[in-house]
Amino acid sequence: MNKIDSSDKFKLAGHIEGLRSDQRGSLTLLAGMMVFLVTIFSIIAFDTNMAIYRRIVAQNAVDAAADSAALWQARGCNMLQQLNNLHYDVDTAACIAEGVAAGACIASDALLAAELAADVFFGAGEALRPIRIGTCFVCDTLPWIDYGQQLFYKAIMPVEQAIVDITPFLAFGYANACAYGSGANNVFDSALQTIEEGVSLIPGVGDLSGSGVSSAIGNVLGDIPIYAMPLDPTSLELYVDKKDNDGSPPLNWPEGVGIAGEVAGDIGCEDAEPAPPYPESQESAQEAGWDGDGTWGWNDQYYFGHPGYMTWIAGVTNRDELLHLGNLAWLNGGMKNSNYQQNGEQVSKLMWTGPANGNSGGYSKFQIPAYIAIASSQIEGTPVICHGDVDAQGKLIKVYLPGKTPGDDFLIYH
Amino acid sequence: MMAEACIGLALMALAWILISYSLFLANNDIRTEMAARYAAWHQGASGDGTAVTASQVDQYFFFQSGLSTVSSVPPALIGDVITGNMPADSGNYSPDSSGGDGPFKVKVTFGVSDPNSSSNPFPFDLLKTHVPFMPDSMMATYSVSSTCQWDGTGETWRSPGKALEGIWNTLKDTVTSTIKKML
Repeated sequence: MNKIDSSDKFKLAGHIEGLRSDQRGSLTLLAGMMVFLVTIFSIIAFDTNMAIYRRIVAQNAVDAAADSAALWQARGCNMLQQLNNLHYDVDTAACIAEGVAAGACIASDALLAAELAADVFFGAGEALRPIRIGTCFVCDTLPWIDYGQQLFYKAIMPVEQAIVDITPFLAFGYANACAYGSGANNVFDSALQTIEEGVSLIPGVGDLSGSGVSSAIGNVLGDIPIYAMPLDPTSLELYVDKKDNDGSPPLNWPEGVGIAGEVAGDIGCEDAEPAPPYPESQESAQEAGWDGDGTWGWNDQYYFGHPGYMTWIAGVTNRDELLHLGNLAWLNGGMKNSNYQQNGEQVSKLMWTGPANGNSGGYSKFQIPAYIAIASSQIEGTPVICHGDVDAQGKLIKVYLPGKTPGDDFLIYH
Repeated sequence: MMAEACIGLALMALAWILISYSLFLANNDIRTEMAARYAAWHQGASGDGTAVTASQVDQYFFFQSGLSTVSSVPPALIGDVITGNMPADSGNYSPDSSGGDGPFKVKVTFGVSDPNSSSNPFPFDLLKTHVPFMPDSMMATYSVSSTCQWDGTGETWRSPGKALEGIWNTLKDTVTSTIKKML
């Protein structure tokens, strides 16, 4: 049996005393703790940066989408206005030309009378005949002008209607392209995740992210490639309609002008070559395939109106934070005990003893949250009218939400 | 005692270098997103597809000049949305063929290409610092970038000629992108 003598006791006491007074390594320990704390706070700063970044991406995407949609509405309105202006100019030209032709028909009557009088009194009626025949040439253009105007009207209105019909789809398509190109994720996924995150913050409701309903909705809607959408889909429409004009020339050219020209031409140009305008020229026009409405003059409709504002939504989905540290159970230890959530402070938190990571315990792991963003846009400029400036342009505006009833909408055109 | 102090200080110095550099890049990553939005919007609103310069971006968004680049990349079109395939960022893309119609997609990059360059400013030059007792300070990422896409809001087809040209470009781009994705 070994015995500890007095000298060994002194050595042991000296060692213990030495350990007490030895401060070697304490700075390394302190530095390590500080580095650990700084790293933790740095990770928090990183994740905050990432959250800010994702929020900006969502806002940029929805702004790009709203601006793009307004642009396409403006382009649609500008094309309509250009066609309205062309329609108006053609009507004006036809109005003038038909007025001149009808005037020539009436003038042919006066020239015929003068020709007969000159023949009776002076025997020189033949001298005036070439002038009357020349006038009849002009008179003979009357039905062609009328048919031409009607043909133009029949051609331009379907083109304008096509613009009205196609523009909302282009606005929607290019808005989505811009949102997609700007980094937006599927808008349904983003919205569902944002709602889930919001609901999970309500005490007593808990986490919906794993619920069957939201998963099923997410699976169905997540397959639809939509990255931005308007809160009110009807706001994509141009809201332009065919309307009667105000009745003044050249919008409404009275039938009496053509009738007067026809009757006058039948008298003044009866013996003239070419034939008087009606009915021979009408037949010629029909033989050429010109399908008129069988009446003189016109009362054309034009497209009038303007779209209202649009409010768009787009977003980004959630994602894991830096190094996936939010999956570690030690960062979520208290959440593992379901009794703690149910009974609040009455139940002590238990240390989680299961896997260190993964989501098998059903806790809410830390994530960079999903964000949805909202933006409104509208077009500015002259509304589509029968003849006006082509100056529509899209613009982002302060966010306006559709009201509860149509009368509550904040329509702020111009 | 002195040795432990040196190791502790070296550990803190290394952590400071890596963390300050990383936070610097993370912070400028946000700036690239804002700069990309401005660059894409500006190009779309110009009416003729005029792109912003790197110096403009430097002036408005970054504290250090000469570290950013602005480049046009292929935009996502309707066909890409339907198929869910984002066009790859081609380095040789030129948006001139579409005039000012858009859409335009711009990529803004901030950082350096060569971490060993002697002209690199702070904090990139910190990466070349070798702290005693510590491993190399070099990291894997030396630049951050963001992209943003904006439509040609400056070209609203106010003249018949521009409208016809725009319709042709739209049809061509839409059909081309859709067919490419479907093949």
